Amino acid sequence: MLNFLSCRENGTLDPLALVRAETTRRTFSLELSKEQDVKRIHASGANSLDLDPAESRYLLSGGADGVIAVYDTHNLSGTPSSTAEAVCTVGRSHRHVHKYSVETVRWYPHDTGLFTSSSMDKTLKVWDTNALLPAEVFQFEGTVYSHAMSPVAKKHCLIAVATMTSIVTLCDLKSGSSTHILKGHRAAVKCARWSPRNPYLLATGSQDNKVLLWDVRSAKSSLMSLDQHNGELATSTAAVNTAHNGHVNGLCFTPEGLHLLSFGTDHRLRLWDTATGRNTLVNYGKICNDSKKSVQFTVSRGSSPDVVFVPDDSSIAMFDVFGGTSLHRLVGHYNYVQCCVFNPDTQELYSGGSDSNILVWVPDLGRGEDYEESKKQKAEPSQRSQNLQAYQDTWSSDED
Amino acid sequence: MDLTVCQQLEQLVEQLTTSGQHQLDKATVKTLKNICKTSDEYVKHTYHLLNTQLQKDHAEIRLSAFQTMDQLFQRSHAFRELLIAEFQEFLELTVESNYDFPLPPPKAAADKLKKQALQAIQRWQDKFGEAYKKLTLGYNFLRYNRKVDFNNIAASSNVERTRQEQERARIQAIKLQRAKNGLKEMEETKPEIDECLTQTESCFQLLVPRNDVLDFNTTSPKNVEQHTNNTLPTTSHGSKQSRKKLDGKDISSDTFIPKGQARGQELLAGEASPVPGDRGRLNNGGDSKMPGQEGDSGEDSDDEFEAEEEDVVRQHGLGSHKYNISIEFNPDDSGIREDTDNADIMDTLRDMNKLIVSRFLPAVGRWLEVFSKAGMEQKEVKRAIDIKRALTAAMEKCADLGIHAENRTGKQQGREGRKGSQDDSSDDDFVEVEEKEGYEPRIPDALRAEYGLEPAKPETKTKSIAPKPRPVPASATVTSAATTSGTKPPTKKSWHPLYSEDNNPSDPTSYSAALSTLQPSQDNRVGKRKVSFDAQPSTSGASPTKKELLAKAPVVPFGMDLYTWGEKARKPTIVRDESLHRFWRPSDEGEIEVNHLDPSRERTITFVGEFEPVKWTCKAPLSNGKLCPRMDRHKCPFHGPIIPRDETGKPANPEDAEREERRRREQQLEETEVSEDWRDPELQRDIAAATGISMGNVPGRGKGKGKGKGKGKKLSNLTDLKKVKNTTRRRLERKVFNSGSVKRVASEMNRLDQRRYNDKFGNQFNYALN
Repeated sequence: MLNFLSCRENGTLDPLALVRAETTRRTFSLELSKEQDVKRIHASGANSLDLDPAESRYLLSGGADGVIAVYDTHNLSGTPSSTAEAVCTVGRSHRHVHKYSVETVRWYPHDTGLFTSSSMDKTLKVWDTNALLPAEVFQFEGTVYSHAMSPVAKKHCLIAVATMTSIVTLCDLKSGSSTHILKGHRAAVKCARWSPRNPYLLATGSQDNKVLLWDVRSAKSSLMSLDQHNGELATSTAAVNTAHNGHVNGLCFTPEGLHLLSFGTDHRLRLWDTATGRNTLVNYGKICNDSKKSVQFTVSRGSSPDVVFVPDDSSIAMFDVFGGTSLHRLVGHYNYVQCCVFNPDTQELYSGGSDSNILVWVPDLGRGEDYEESKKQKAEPSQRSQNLQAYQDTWSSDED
Repeated sequence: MDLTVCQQLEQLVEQLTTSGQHQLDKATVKTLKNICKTSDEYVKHTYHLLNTQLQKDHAEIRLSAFQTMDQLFQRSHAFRELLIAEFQEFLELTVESNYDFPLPPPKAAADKLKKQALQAIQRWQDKFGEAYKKLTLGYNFLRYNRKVDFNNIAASSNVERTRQEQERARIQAIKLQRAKNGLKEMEETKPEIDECLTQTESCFQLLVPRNDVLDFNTTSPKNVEQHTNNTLPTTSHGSKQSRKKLDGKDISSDTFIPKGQARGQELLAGEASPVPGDRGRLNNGGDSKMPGQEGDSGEDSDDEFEAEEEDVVRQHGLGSHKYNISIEFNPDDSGIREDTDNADIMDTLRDMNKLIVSRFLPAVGRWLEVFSKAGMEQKEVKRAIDIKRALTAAMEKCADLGIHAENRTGKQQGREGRKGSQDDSSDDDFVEVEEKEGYEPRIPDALRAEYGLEPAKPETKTKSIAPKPRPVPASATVTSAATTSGTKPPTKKSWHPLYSEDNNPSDPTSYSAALSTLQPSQDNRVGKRKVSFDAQPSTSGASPTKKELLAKAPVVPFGMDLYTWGEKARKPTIVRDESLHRFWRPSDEGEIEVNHLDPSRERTITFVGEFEPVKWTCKAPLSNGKLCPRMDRHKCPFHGPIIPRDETGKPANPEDAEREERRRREQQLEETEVSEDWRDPELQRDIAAATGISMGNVPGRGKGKGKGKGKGKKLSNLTDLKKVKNTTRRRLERKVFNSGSVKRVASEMNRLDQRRYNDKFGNQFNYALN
């Protein structure tokens, strides 16, 4: 670090390189935050999380109890330890609360005035954040597993909705109606993601083990079906190209949009080239995935190499995206981890699990000592002694 | 890190965790802590050792491991870090936070482990929760997600608690429902009870003179009584009974009344017409003491108020006041005697009493119980109590009068003998059915005991003693007697209508049934039957030897042998037609005698002997000091052949004792061989020498017991999980369900079936082929 700084001072180093180095360092050293906390609001599991893209500040969470909450992740208390309070919640007593479990929550990609939530009660609601009232409610035939909005689209305002029926529906926020449907899957669609690069490219993963790529401008058929064997298997034809040997319930584009990661109940994670649709054959090993619903996983931004955070049973596994090597394992949840979200600005990770906890993972850079120092100076003597006591060995004198 | 110290640590952990005790050995823990105190490295090593033990599928090992961990957790920061890093797993292994992995047996230790672990986590959280984030998370997880109530750890899991609550709610609902039903029933029965009580009350009034009637100090009662006297006879038949009873009993001491005469008059009057009866009595009693109502009032007045009212004397037709009438009134003696006149009232009273005792009182008791259990309103409970009190009062009154629902006087029984004594049966729901005249059920001999009858005898003279639920009318026993003799005629030739096959008395068209119909009245039945018996010269009238023979002669179903009884033995033959062949002749042309089992001569009777229940027990001494209570006929599955034993269970015969002793010794030898085969004393000695630790004793040899390395060397003081499965039931199952015994039983049953077929159809060619 000091070396980097001195090089920077000398002007021998590209500023981006410094940023990248620091980001990488921080990303790789994520640990459960000892100080930061998220207030416990969900009575049952937290199914979905989303960090607002505009400020990377407000965290949206949807719970299995139908509750939606918005947290402020910024610590404005002035002390290192803080609890992220809920800015607003759609609680059980709310008039428009979802009847059943909320499966996915999404911020509007461009500001925090709007967010969308989809639920097992077969509805997709578009909320006005400030009034906390639904501006629009879309009804579907099947329960909604997932929905997504394109982060880069300027020309359209479509929400892709993956429901229990095999049809992917596109809802237009401009007209407030479902504009078209995408037919291609043969079973329930578990997840849908827009490419962060191409505003018309949509990827959907389904229970029929397939991942389909769509150009929403031509709704006739899908662009391509991802084939895990790249057509090398003798029996594989276009009709039976499968991406996984199990249901596909998680999809995530890399930040630059060149690659797509898919996660299936065959306990495998696969990396695809979005341009060619070929399997890059990166081997991540077995990652436990027994979820019947969609799983949200995420890729870090700005580090080199990039890191993918995948829920693995009750922990979160960190992998090198392109190398496939396992980097670390974040252990802290007491039940299945359902979703995780990466904060690109602070390199923090937020994860929600079935144990209804939302945990904050922060870079552990040995700041603990600094905090201890500051705490020692600030804290009351009694409190300090108590705190010290907790970390100290207390061998009693009778054990001689 | 010192290697020997590490080995010592291993031994200590092994010792602690395989002790099988629910408490840790303090000295061992102290040694362990001493070692751990020296360096964190040892703490880490200990943690890994303990964690390995904690994952064993034995609750006692886990419990001990957990207790040791608790000790270290409270002391060492390094240990806390390690444990909390794997806190999820720890929770799974100790408090079964993951329902897919329940705690291993034995259950007692598992429960204790769970409880202690929860308490410890609570303690840890209070003490270190602030410093260790994951500890707090785990604590919250247990508290909010697994809904562990840390204040009430006994009912720890949410599921259990809700189950308990549901159970409680369900029981409460049932109770309430029962109470409601009871209330409804009470509402419905209330009118009946009221009616019953009213009837009883009026019966009492009729039977027992009211108090004011006997109250001699008042002057008016005579008039009142007089008045009622005048009105009652036309309406009520009952008041007379009370009167009569009074005179029957109380005035019986009156010297100059011939009691019989008075009774006769009374009866006469009663039979004829009430009103003239009165007059007649008055007339009759002109010079003698009147037995009736007048008697009462007369007595009263004469006794006490002699000088008082002249007109009384005149009214009652008494000559003077000089009569000295003494009344003995004995309140202890219920003083009610039953006779023809008050019989109806007594009957009613008895019925009512029975109704109260057998139906209403239990019902009220039931309601009260149900109400109090369900926490019903005070009002309803009070109502039920009131009803109960009224019923009890009525019942007591009945008891005072000497009326009990159960016992009836012989007279009573005799009186309603015709009706049968169905009333005696406690079940009120049965409708009383009149005795049928023509048809009587035939009670098979085997079922007689069920009907409460004595075993059938050739002559059943006394009929009226038929005791309990269904008095079998005379004809029933007659018929059974007839059938026994009827199916077994002395000779085939002497046909008699009573003995013929179609003379089945259960058939109303038969002769014997018709005979029984002709015996009309109960009273002279016995005589008639005698006559009918006498009319059968071949049986009843015969010599006693014949009777005896008949008594023990078996009853068999009719068959070919009986059909051809007494005929000349004739072997069945098969007639073959002459062969038409030119030169070939069969050897047995003509008639061939069949040498098969001849059905016309022979009969297969299966002899099975008589079943005799086992009266003896095995009585072999058991480990718990008792004697084996099994009742096997020949051989106890646990203790071998049944042999005579004394009170302490010792065999009575010396050779038996010797044999048993031998067997026991063999068994013991076998056991020791089994248990010792893994023990290598040499190796043990080596180990003991190398480690310097004595490893327990080898029983009987005084050597160190090997343990530690190698499989299957589990310490004996742990509960053996396999042994738990070796229960009596399992051993029996092994015996009963093994293929050999199953086969044996199946073949035996097949044999029985086969024999039954042969007996029934063996003579018929088409079955005989089977």
